[in-house]
Amino acid sequence: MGQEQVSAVRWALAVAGLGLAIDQAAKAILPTIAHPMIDPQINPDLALGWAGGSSGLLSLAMIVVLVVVVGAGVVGFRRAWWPAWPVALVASGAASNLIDRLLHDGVRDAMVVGPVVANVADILLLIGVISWVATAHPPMKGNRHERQTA
Amino acid sequence: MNARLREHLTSLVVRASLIGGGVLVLLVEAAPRINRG
Repeated sequence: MGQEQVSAVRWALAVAGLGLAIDQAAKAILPTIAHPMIDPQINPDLALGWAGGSSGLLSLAMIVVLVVVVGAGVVGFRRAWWPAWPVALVASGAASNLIDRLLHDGVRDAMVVGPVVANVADILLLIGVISWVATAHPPMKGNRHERQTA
Repeated sequence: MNARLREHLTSLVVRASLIGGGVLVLLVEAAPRINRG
């Protein structure tokens, strides 16, 4: 791994740590604020029916997704297919919601966004996924050495 | 197979996998909570 990639990994780790810290702090602080757009709740619900109604199963699915995301993210980053920071955003959002589900038996939500109540981690996940797809430059000839990976 | 065609196909597969994976990630990480208000 070159110096440029090492630097990108450091930034990505900082982004991931910061994202996780901000989300956890927001989940702790928002419930103390009275505002029409804040509706604190611990949400254990499952939707779409595909998770079989088991919280344990969903936690397991979240762990698997997190491991696969980080694994695929590292592989692609080392090949210069995409930068490290979108991977960090997705990983931090996923990890923070996973921590909630493991420690609180549900995800702590507070931000009213239209018909749903979301949290900072959800926003990090959404931004991460979109930016990951948008910044990806899969293995076209020359990518490996020509792209800046920061 | 033509090398250039293979590169394009690989690129296409990776992009499609990314989009599919992204949707899956959002489904698992965020959408499970979408059915409550």
